[in-house]
Amino acid sequence: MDNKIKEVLNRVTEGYSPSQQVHDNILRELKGENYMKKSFNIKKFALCFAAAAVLLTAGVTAASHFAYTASSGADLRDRIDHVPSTDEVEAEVGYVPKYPITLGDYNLVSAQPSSGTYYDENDNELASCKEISFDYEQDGKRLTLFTSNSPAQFPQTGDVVATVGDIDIYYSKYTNKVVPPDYKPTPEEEKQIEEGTLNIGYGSDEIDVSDCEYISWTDEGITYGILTMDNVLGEQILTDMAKNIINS
Amino acid sequence: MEEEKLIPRILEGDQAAFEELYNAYSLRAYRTALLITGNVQTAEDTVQETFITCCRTLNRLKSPRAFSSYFYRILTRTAWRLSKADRGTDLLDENSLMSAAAEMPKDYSDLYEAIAALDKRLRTTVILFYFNDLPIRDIARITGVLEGTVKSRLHTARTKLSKIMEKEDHYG
Repeated sequence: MDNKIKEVLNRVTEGYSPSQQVHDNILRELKGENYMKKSFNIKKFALCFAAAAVLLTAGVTAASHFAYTASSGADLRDRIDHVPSTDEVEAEVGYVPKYPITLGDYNLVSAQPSSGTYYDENDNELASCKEISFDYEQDGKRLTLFTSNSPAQFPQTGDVVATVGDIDIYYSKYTNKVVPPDYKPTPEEEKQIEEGTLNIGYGSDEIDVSDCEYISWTDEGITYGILTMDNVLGEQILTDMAKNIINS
Repeated sequence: MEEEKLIPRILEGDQAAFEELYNAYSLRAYRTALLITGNVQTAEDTVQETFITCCRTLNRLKSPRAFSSYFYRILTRTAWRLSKADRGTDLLDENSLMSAAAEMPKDYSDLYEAIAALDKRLRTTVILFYFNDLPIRDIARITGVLEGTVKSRLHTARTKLSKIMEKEDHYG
């Protein structure tokens, strides 16, 4: 009886196999909206954001070394794969930033809560807080609006490109390089870091270089930053986006 | 199959690692889903949903060594849920495994019909044990019951199938 059951089950399914469509659908789901691409991009964005935070809080004394460092950790399981309601955002991070449904031609598609930790030059923790970023997409291009209500008030650098009321808007353009934790910058890179044209984000498995822009401001205690990565929009477009968010 | 090496790579978003995992699991998973649901389309949906759910929740897996049990636990739950939703479909349509069974010799098709008629928990236990060659311990993990319950279900299923086959022999 045992052998016969085994044989029947094998014979009745013989010749059946999943269609290519199944494979393609899985891959599209994981890659397109997506698990694989996102898991890499979120990590890369997190490192870029951490580097951007360093850039924007550094150089206050015109010193050649950064005064603060930042780390950002995102858990994919917390990802919100739709336009979140303000109640959802408040439940996730305890505050509600301004996050318009559209930014120029870009549409809000998802959000990612994360944890941010900020350290001084001696690696003493200055502040730790919940943060949330919002992803906007248009024709496969993407930009991210980061928000943080860190209690630490960091001085911002970069060029002030506009002022709305008493809010200064800072813009910077730089090359971001994500690298493994044990990476040693070359002398040329050290020079670029000192000049503020290169940021290095540590923690990636592979080296990856991106052209980044970052525009930031602080409004009612919440720090905002729009980051573009390999999708240069230019100072004016980003400034207009920042103004729209401030005035919304 | 080296899940211990593949799982961390998949968590890093390595597509080649996913392909390797898919190639190793998809055929057996599909046929298992086909036996549980009895329907070609529902089996495809089950496999699709199982892989997606597994990949999205891989972080929750305590050890890559437990992947197989984890995968089949999701697969069986998904198959049960989707087959319940598809209960109204015609079992004799071309997507039904019953139509393939009808082409086998009568004693085989009768036995398959008897297996397919078992309660879903008994049927799943029979499939995991006889088709997937899984040990009792793993079946217990997958179905979320004690090992004794798995043994009891197997015994009950065998008894039922034997009785049905005896009747078939007697009247057939």
